Amino acid sequence: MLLYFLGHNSFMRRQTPYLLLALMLGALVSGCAGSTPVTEDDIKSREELRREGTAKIFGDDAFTLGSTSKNEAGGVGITVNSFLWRASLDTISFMPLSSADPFGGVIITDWYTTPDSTRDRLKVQVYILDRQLRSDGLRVSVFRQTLDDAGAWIHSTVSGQTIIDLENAILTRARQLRISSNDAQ
Amino acid sequence: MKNILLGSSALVGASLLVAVPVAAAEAPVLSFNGWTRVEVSGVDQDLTAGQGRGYQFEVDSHYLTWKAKGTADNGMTYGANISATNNAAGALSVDEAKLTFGLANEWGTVIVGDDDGADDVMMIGGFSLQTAGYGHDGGYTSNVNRGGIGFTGAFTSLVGDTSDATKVSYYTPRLNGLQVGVSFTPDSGNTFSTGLGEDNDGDFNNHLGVGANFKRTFGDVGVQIGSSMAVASTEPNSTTVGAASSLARDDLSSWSIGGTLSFSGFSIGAGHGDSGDSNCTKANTLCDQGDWWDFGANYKFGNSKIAIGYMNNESNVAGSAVGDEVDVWSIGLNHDFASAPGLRAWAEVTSFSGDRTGTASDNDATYIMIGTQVAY
Repeated sequence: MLLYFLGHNSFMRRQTPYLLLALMLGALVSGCAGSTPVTEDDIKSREELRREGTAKIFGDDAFTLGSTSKNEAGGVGITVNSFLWRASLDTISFMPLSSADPFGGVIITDWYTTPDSTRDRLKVQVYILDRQLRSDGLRVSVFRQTLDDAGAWIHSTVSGQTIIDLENAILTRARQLRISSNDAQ
Repeated sequence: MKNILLGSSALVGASLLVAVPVAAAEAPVLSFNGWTRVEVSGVDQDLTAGQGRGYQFEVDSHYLTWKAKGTADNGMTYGANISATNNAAGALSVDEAKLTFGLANEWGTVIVGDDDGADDVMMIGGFSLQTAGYGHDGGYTSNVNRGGIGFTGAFTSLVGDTSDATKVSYYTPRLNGLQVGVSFTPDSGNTFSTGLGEDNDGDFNNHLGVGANFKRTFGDVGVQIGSSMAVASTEPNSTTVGAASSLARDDLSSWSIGGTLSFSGFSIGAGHGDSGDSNCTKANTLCDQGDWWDFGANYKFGNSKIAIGYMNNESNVAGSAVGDEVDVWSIGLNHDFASAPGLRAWAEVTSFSGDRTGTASDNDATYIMIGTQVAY
């Protein structure tokens, strides 16, 4: 009904663009609480959406030169991002490894007891989820057990900050490896 | 508690021993992609006696796109994007060429160059849900003769759309699902007279396009709402330059609003746009550049999508005693072949009906298209 009125009243037809502009600005101001970063890759015209809203032969661009090229994921035996993979191994290398699957991108350590806290032991699982070097292409799980007075290992909680710090350490190492790789080329 | 802290801290501390500080900058990236679309289409139309039916093979479009992108130490991204396509003569020519600057993301994105404006980028409507043949939003227009009746009003776009004319645009980050963009185009015809002044070739000066859209998911329901508007000054044309003010044309003032809802594989959408008397000769009070309604719905299953669309447009561009009304129906199906990445095929049927209200004149057509594309 409102749109019909706007479309068939000559005065309103002229004023509607300015009314919409005011509403847009008002909505933007009211929505300033939570910002989600948007890159230029997210801003697409109707024509660009048509062109890019389809699968491609190579899964991604036909070729990429530079840091996010598919050869990051290359190398025989590694189907996930190689920088994330190497960074993960480097970062948790002080712990004994239980298994490392380069095809699935899963690294599982054995239980590890720190010299400072012999009644605690920790186990880490790293999942690499993407072929690209992205901050959301990595997931870390940390498990902790505590030795009780009866000599049994009891599961206990791990701080979320510990997991975040460990993920950040891996990502930082991955970025360092990639920059080193580019410098070497 | 102390042991807990010690254990966790030791884990992170040990891991940090192997990590050294690195610069924020990332290495630049150059990428290339493209697509080619080939269609076979047939049309049955009553506009021209003796030429009512026909078919043709057509390379609908091909695009080659190069992108270069880098990240500065302060987090700002910057890049260049060039797209080339086939022009009307079949030759390859640059379609879009733009520079992009991501202002460390928190401050939005600036785009300068030959690119569509925010009023086009932010628009949402029933057309957003169509299949690869574009449905009622113009897939049929290259082969349906719209001479005379129905020539205007064939697309869900605003009159005076600057398309890829050189402009500067700014887009905010997405705030709680909401994003706003604004574009400024000095000359929609992309030409200036000697001395960089008004070139009086009948297009628009100082075109301001503003658009906003809201995209968010609530549970299993996806919601998208978009609105856009455009204002601009009209240039005199060959008829009106230096003429009496009564021959001057109305400035551009147009707007649109629309949205879609998605749930369980189904999507429905609708849109409305109005170009009012934009670019009409001021003396002609009957002139109306038209307003449209469009509706669309689709259902996605596996790698396939089926969609229907409808658009109605009423206009009186000539400013005569009678106006034109265009109705377009479409139904289409497209499929992406999982076993052949990049390969897509589609089929579409469109019914076009243009009527000159109050007269016996009309222009009806049925259009059938089968197409395929390879993207890489």
